[in-house]
Amino acid sequence: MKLVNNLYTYVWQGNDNNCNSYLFADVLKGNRHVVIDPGHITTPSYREPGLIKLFKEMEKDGIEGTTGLVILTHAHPDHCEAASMIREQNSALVALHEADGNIYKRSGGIVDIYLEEGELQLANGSQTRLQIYHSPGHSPGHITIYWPEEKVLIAGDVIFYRSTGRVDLPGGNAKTIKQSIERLSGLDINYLLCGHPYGHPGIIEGKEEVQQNFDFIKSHILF
Amino acid sequence: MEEEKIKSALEIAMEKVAKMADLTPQEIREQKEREYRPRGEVTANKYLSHVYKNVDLAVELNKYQGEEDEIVRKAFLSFLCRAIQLDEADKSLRAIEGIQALDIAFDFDRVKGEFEEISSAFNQEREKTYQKLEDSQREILNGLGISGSAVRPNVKENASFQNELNQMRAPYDMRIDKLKDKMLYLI
Repeated sequence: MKLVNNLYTYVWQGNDNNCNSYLFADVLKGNRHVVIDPGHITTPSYREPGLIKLFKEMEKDGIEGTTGLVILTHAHPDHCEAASMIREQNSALVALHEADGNIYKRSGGIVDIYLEEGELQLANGSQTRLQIYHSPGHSPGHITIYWPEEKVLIAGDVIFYRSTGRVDLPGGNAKTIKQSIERLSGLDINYLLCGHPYGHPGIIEGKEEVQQNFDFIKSHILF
Repeated sequence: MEEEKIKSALEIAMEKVAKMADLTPQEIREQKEREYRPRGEVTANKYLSHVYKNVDLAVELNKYQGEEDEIVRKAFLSFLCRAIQLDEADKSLRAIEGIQALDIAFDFDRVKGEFEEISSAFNQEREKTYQKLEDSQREILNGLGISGSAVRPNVKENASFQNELNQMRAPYDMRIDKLKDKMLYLI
């Protein structure tokens, strides 16, 4: 579904655990796309075809052409499993933070680009300027992606609707996720895009709604 | 009829030992090698891994006499020589310093100087190769429309970099091997 400008959201609608995916259409040369967190190829318990479902949803939105870049907010399989297949089929590049690089490589993934704190520019005539934030806590190399022009934050598994990401997985850390959330809460956000549809699609719209979500988490969960 | 004496297990074992031939000098040497070589290697490893705190390495090495002493010292020397590696400067310099504890008349300062010179030349060339490949990767990314301060191409795991690095390091590795050989046969 088109959210704003050329940003599309794909909320996971299956029964198994899989992530929400996001796509910036036609932002790279040759009208190639950027996919964020393509998720599972096939979900582990119910064997749902995650990647095929994603491709079908993209087709419904009229997304044609190929993916040139896959950005992973972090290297957990429910976010990154399909990245290798997209890389192979589309000659796409895979990018993530170096601190999650080993987790990704252990599962057979190949990293083309390491993303660090700073600006990521995507150019295809016009430019899309994104800010990459290192937001550890759920995983050591978790990143979040902020699009200042449209005030969008792609939050991965740092923050959900009225909840936060788990910190009990290897490399997780309660103290650092708190710091990450504190920092992100200072951004000017109109759209908070979460990594999962936990009890809510995970697309939180409106400055007030987003603020309320941060306030709820800070007062009920983090302290 | 004389009653046959029932022998204890110990008596049987002792009889068998008595029938065994004495060890040859070669076998004795091998036995000692098996026993004392690990002692030299463990001492070297503990030293290299900073396990020793306030331990005088020379005293540690002088605990042995005669043939045992020679085996321990050779094992110690060989372990530390093997630890000298092109891309591990700190560890290598520590290994050379450790060898000095053997109290051999040898110009170790010259060896250290040579190692530092080789290592520094290698690092400079590696950095140049890395930079050259990073620049070319960035150009490719720019061509695709990907740029910015957040982007760092993964050059280190790039096959071209690995190939170039392997080719580039070969003459440096040879020089390091020659350096090691100079010390390996000091005992």
